[in-house]
Amino acid sequence: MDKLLEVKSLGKSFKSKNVEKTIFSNINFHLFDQEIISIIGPSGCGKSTILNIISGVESDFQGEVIIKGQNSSLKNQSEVSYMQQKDLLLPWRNVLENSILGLEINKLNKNKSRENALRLLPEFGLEGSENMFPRHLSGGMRQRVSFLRSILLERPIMLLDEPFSALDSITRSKMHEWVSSILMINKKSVVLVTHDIYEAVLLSDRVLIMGGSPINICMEFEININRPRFKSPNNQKIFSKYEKDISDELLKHVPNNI
Amino acid sequence: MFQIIFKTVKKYFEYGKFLSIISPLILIFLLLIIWQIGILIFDTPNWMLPSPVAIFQEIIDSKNILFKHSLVTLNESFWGLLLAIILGVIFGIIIFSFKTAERSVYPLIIASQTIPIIAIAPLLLIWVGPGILSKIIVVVLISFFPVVVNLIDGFKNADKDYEKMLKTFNASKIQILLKIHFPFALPYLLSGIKIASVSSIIGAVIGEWVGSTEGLGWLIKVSSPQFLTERMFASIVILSFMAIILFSLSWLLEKFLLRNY
Repeated sequence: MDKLLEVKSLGKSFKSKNVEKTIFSNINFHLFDQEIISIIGPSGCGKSTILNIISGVESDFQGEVIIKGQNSSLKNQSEVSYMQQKDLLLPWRNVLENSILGLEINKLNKNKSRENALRLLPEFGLEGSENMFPRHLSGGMRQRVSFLRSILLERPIMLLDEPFSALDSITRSKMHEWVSSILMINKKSVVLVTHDIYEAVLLSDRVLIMGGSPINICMEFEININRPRFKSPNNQKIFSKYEKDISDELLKHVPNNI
Repeated sequence: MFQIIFKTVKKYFEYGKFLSIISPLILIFLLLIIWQIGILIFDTPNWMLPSPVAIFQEIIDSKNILFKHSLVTLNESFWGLLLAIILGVIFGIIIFSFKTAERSVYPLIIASQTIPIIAIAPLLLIWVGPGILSKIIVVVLISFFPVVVNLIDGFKNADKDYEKMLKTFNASKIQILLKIHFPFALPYLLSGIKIASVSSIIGAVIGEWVGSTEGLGWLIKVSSPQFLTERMFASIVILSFMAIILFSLSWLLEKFLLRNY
């Protein structure tokens, strides 16, 4: 299989009061085409920073990010879309205008963009709400609009930074189901950052554990559960086993600066 | 367009806002009655303090002269205000976009506010003469400040994560400014414009006071030595009325532009 994304000896440090502090160093991982991987670790270990680097928002780092075999210069990349924790909808734009924001920035034909978005609305559970404003939407709906905005960009790699953490637990499990089907239909390759172990097991093909001192990726789990995955009496055991193993591993590698 | 404006206005009158409009009017009316009664009891001469009725009478009697000078003042205020908004937006964008400008220009703008405008007005008279231009400049000097300060505060208030998101869309700096920073700063800008709209009348009066041959500010100044107190009061009433009109227009503009916020 093709390695769509490869991260090589990635490191990030910052200067504070003239002392060089390392957040993480020597991070290595890869992402195959149409694969979903999760990066899991305690808060503050630099998970989001990794996504910032891959997406090109952060340009001061050590190491290499290779996308589709090319060293990404990280300026004007068109392979990666990035969904942050907050839905980041613009309050003065309605659902349709919000969803085509990315296309608008890339100066695509406005009518075509609208048609595209309208066509996808039912699949995103947003049929008939194209003229509604974000303040009238529920948290789950807002997150789906944000998802639609990312999907419409048609970039093969999606970076998800705890996209479900702001939702209540019922909405979150609904979103889990829905997102895994959307990702499959749209053939996306995903790097998901989370600190929810269950979410990582449910959605990913591989789970990478971040921790240790200095922080790096200290363990990798392959999740061998058939898709579509729902917790049922049949696979209860195997889910629990993965969750326990990952939890143990995380505790073993708690960084000493936390 | 007009339909939307009409709808906005209608909405603000429907929602039990009637009471909030009528209440201050009742209070003003009561105060005027107390004033009128006080004048009758103490038999105050008109040149000292005219009664509300006498002021109202003066407005009707001298409506031609008052109207003529009102137009002059309103004209100066309006163009000064418009220019202040345009310059404020331009400077706001420059100061926000370039660190060097923020470090060098912004402190100067703030420092300039510590100079009393009334002290600068005579200088303007020497430099640009007693025409309308000197008044417009005074209005700009006074109204520019709230516009630019509010706009910059608004720019800085925009959530950094939106900027981050637009960067991953490969947005240019101008696109980020137009799609994120400017819309986020718009409520702040409009607050600034509301403050500026009221102070623009003050600016015009100061300009006329220092050197002019027309306008309500000038009319007040020349009425004083003649003890035409009713006329001075009539001018003051009209000035405050004009400030209310400019403020209301800014308020309408705000309601219209922020209807989806």
